[in-house]
Amino acid sequence: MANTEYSLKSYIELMKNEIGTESLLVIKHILAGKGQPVDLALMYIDGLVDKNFIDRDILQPLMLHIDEEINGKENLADYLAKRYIALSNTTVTSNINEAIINIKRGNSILFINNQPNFIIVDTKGGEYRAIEESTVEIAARAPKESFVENLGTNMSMIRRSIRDKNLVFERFTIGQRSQSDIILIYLKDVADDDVINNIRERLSSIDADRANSSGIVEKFIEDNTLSIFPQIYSTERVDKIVSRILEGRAAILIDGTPMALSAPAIFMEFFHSVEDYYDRFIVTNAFRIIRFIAIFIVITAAPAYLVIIKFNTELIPVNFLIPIINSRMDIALSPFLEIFLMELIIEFLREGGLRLPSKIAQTLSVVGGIIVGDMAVESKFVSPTTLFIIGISVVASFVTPNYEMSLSIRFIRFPMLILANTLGVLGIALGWFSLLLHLFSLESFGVPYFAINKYRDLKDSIVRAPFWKMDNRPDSVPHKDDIRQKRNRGWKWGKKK
Amino acid sequence: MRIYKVYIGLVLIIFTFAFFMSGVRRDAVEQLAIDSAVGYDLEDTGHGIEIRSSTASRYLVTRNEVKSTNITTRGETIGKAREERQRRIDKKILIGLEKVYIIGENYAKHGISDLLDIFFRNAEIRDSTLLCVCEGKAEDILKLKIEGYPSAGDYIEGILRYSREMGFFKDNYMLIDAYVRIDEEGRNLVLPYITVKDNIIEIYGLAIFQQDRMVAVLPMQKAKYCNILRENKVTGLLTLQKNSDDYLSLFSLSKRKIKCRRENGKYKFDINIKLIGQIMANDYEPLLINKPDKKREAEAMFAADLKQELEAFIKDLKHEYKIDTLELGRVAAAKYGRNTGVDWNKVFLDSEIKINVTCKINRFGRGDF
Amino acid sequence: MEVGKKEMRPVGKDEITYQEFTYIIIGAIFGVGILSLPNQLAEVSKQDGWISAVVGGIYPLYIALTTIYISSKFPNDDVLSVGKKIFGKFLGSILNFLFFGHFFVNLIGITTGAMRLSIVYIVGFLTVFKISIVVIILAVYGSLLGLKVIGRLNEFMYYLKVVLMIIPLIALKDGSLLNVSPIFGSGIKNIVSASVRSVFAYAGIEVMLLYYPYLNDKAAIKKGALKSTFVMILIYTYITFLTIYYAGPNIVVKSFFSVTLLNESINLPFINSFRFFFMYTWIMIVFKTIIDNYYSCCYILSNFAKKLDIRKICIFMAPILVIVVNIIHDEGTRREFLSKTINYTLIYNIAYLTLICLIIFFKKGEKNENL
Repeated sequence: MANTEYSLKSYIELMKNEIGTESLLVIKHILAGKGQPVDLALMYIDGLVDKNFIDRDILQPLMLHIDEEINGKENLADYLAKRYIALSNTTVTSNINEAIINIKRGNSILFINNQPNFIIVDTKGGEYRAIEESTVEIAARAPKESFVENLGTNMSMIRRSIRDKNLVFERFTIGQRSQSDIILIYLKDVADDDVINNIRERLSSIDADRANSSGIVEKFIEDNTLSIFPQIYSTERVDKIVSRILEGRAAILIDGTPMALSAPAIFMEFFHSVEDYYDRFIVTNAFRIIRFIAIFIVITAAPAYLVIIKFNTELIPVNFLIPIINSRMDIALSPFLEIFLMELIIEFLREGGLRLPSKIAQTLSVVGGIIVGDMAVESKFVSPTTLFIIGISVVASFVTPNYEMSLSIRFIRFPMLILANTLGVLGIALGWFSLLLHLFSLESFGVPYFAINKYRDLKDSIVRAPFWKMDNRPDSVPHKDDIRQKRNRGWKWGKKK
Repeated sequence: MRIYKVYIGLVLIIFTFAFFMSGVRRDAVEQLAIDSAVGYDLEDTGHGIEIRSSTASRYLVTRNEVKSTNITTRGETIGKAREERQRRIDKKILIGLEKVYIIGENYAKHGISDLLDIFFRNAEIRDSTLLCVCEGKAEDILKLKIEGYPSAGDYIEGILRYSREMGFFKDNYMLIDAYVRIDEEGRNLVLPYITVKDNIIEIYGLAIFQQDRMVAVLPMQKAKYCNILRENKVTGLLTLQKNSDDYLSLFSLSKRKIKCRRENGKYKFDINIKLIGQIMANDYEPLLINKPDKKREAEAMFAADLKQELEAFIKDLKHEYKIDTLELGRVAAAKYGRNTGVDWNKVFLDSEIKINVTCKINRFGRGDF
Repeated sequence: MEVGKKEMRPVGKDEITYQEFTYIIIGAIFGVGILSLPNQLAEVSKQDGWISAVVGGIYPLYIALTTIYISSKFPNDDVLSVGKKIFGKFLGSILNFLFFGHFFVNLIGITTGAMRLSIVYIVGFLTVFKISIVVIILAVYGSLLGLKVIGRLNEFMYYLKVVLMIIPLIALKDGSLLNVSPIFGSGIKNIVSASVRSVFAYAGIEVMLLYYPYLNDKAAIKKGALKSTFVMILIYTYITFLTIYYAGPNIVVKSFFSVTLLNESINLPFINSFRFFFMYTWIMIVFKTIIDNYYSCCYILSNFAKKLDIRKICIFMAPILVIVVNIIHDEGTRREFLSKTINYTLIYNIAYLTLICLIIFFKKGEKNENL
C-alpha cells in the first residue's frame, strides 16, 4: 500500500537526523480532508518562523476548510498547494536537500504521507532589528536607512533603489557550521567580468566553520592580509552601496550582519564622505581639501615636531624657539618619550571610550582629557607645546570617514615616530616613501589600489567636479559601460547642437 | 623551529634599533645655547697672528623672562675662539640661529674673507643672517642694555631690517648677498655701519668694501646718494630746503637704469634715475595739486638738485675713495666680456659718467594745510 | 620570443604604458647629478654653463636615436638579447657585462651622492654606514616589487619634480640678466669642453635600452624616447640658467651643490629656510632614482643566465653595494673615482651601440630571418 520510502515516519526520521532533535524542530501532525483523512506533517524550526502565517494560512485551510475527499488524489502536494494553502510563496519539490536548506532559513515544510513531493512554504519571520539610522556613519542630508541583520530586508532595500533589470543577485552558502547566506550583487552590463569572476572564485573557496561576519569574510577574500590598508570597503549605509554598484563595483551582503562589503576598493574612496555628493560644490571641495590636509597632519605632525626640536633645531626662527624652550625647561622626559607617552595615553582613552556605556564614556573623556592632560603638564611630565601638537593630530585623525581607514592612519603614526627618532628627517622621508611604494604595489581584486594615471578620475578624487559634469564612470574601477549620464542641464544652456 | 624564528626576528629588530640609535648624540632643544647675535673682532698683537675674538650674546631663558649674557672668547682663528666658548658655556652651542653678525671695524679693515669662508662652508648657518660693521669693537656694542629687548642683537636686527624704509637702503645686507658681491666681477660689497650715540644704536652710514676689505665709511648724507646710484627700486626721503621755513619733501621710489658704451677703449656710463614720489610736506607752494606748471617746476627742481648732488658724490668717489661702489663694472662686464683681466676699479676712475634724473610727483596726500 | 625577463612578482603583467616608460627614463636620470650640475659646468664655461647643458644633450639624443633604431628592428628584445644574438652568447655576455659596468658606476655615484647630500644638509649626526644601509634596504624593497610598481612610482615622482622645479622660479626676483651676460662670452671651446662634464648628469638614460620591450604599445617607443630626452635637456638647461641667473657664475663655482643656493631666495614665515622642505622632497626623489638604477643593474645581471632569478640578485647585490659605497663615500674620492671611470664607460657605451647599429644595418636582410 504505502511506500515506506515516502511514509511520513521516514520523512520525520530523516529530518530529525539532519536537523537534530535538540534544535528546536517542531512537528505538527494534521489530519486533512473529508472521509478518510490524509496524514500531513508540518515541520518548522521554532523562532525562525512567523507563527501567524502558519496558523492562519496553512493550518486553518488545511484543517478546517477542506470539504472534499483528497485521499488518493494524484499529485496531492501540487493540488493542496494550489487549492488550499493561501500563502504567496510555495514550492513543490521532492528534493530533500532543498527541504533541509529551506527549513533552516525559516520556511516550513509540509510532508504528505506516501507522496514523493512535499511543499515548501515561505513563512519567514522572527524578530529582527528595525531599519534605523546607523550609529556609526551619520550624514546630515542623506537617507537615514542603513542595513540590518536580516538578509531579506537588506536585499529589498537595494532592490528598491536600483530597478534596472540588469541587477544580479547571486547567492552563496558559505561556512560549514554557520552556513550563512552571502549575496553578491552587481550590474550585469556595467561590472567587469574578470573582476566578478575573481570575486566569485574567492567566495566559493572559503572553507571554514563560520563566515557570518563581514570582517571574517573580508579577511578571507582580500589580497594582502599583511597590509595596513583595507582593500575592501565596508559600510552600513544603503546609499553608499548603491552608488558603488552603479559605478561598476560588486556589493556583498552577509546574513546576520549589517555591514555590507564592496569590492574592488581603491584608496581614494576611503576618504570620500557621503555628504560630498549631497552638499554644494564649492563648499564640499574646500572641506575635502581640508580633510586631506588633516590626514597629512595626523601622520606627519608629531614626527616633524620631534625632528625639529631634537635634530634640526636650526630651522625654527628664534622668536618661536624661545617660547618652546620656555615651555620645555625642567621637563623630566626626553622629547621622544614625552610624545610616545602622551600618544599612548590618548589611545587608552580612545579605546576605553569605545567600550564603556555612553554615559560613562562621556565622563571618561572629560576626566581623562582634562585632568590627565592638565596634570601631566603641571607635574612636568610633558610640555604644553607637545600636548598641543598631539592634541591637534588626534583631533585630525577623526576626520577620515571610513572607520577602518582611520584606524590605519592612526596606526601609521607610531612607526613614523620611531623612524623620526632614529633617523631624523631621513626617517620621515623613508617612512613616506615606503608607504608610497606599498600603496603602489597593492592591488584589490586585480585593480590597482592607488592609481594616479587615470586622469579623468581627477574629477572625483581630491576635489569633486559639479555633479552634472561627472559623465563617465571612474576609470580606476574597470567597467564595460562608460557613460553614466548625458547632458542633463539642457534647460540652462539653451538648445545646443 | 618556527618559534625560534620569532625570537630571532625580535632580537634582530632590537639590535637594529640599538645600532641606529647608537652614537647619535643630539640633544633636545632645551639643552642648546642659542645666540642672538655674534660680534667678531680682530686685535693686532703687533707680531705674528692676529687674535680673533668672538662675542656671543646668548639667550638665558627662564620661566618668566628672557635675558641675555655676553661671552667673549679669543683665539688665533675663529674655530679656536668657538672651541674656547664651548668650554665656558654649560649647554651645547648651536650655530645658525643668530639674527645678525656684527663685524668690528678692525676686522673689516683687515679683511673678512676667512669669516665668510667659515660661514659659507657650514650648512647649518642661515644665509639670510644680517651683516653689519660697527664702530670700534663689536664687544662693546653688544654690552649695551636696551630696555624691552633681551639683547642688543635683537635691537640691531630690527634696525638693519627696517632700514629699507627710508634712506634708500635696500634689504640685501645678508650673508648671501655678501657672498655674491665679494667675488663677482665688477661688484663690490657695502654694509651698514652702526655706532652708539647717546646710548642708542643707530646706523651711521655705509661701509664700503673693496674685495673683502673695508676701505671707507660714508656718512649718512653721502650714503644716501650712494644708495640711489647703486640700487634699484629703493625708497627714501628727498628734501628741497630754501630756508628754515620753505621746504618741500618728497618720499620717493627711485628706479635706476644703467647703459654702458665703449668708445676708443674708454667707457661711458649713462645712469638714468627715475623718481616717483608723493609729497610729504609742502611749505613751499600751497595747493600744488591745482597748479600743473608749478608742479612741473617742483619736479624739475628736485631733478636738478639730485643731479647736482649725485655728480658731486661721484666726483668724491673717484677722487677720494677710488672704488667702483656703484657696481658699474658689472654692467660693463656683462656687455663686453668677463675674465678679460680688466680692473673695473680703474675703468671706473677713467670713465665718463653721465647722470640723468627725472622726477614725477604722483601723489599729494590728503590735503594742503 | 626571448625577452630575457624572469618571473616577476605578479603585479600586473610587467607591462608599462607609454607614459610610465617616459617617466621611468626621466626618473633614472633626474637625481643627484642635477644639484651639482651648475657648478660643474660653470667652472669651465662660466656664465654660459646653461648652453653647455644644451650641448651636452647630444649624448642622450644619440642614445635615444640608437634606441629607436634598434627597437624598430627588434621590438621585443632588449639590447642585451640583441647583443647576444649578434655577437653570440659568450662574446655577447662579456660585452653586456661591460655595459653593466656603466650602470654600476652610475649607481655608486648616485648612492654616494645621495648620502653626501643627506649628511651635509639634513642628517649630519648619522654615519655613512647607517645611511647606506637604510638607503640600500629601501632600494632592495623597491626593486623586489617589479617593473610595474616602479613605473607608477616614477610617474608620481615626476609630478613632485615638476612642483619642485617650479618653486625656485621665485628666485627670478633676486637675480638679474647681468649674471648670465655676455652670452657666448666664454668662447665656444669652453662651452663644448664643459658639456663633457654634463654627461654624468645625463647618465641613466641608457635604461631606455632595457625597458622598451615591455611597452604595451610599440609604436610609442619613438615618442617616449624622444620626449624623455627633450624633457631632461629642458629641465637641465632651465635649472642651470636659473642658478647662474640668481647667483652669478663665480659663486656658483664655489658651492658644492649649487642648486640649493636657489632656496635662499624663498622666505617662508614659519621656518628659517626653505632648504628643509626642498631637501626632504629631494631625498624622496633620489630614493626613486636609486631604485631605478638598482633595478636596472639587477636586471642586466639576471640576464646572463636563465637560472638567475632577479629577486635573488637584488638581495645579493645589496651587501656588495654597501661595501663599495662605504669605501668610496668620501666626497673627494668619489669625484676622483667618477671622473676616471665615467669617461671610459661612456665611450664604451657609445662605441658598443654604434657597433650594434652598424651590424644591424649591414646585415639587415640576413638577421631578420633568423629571429
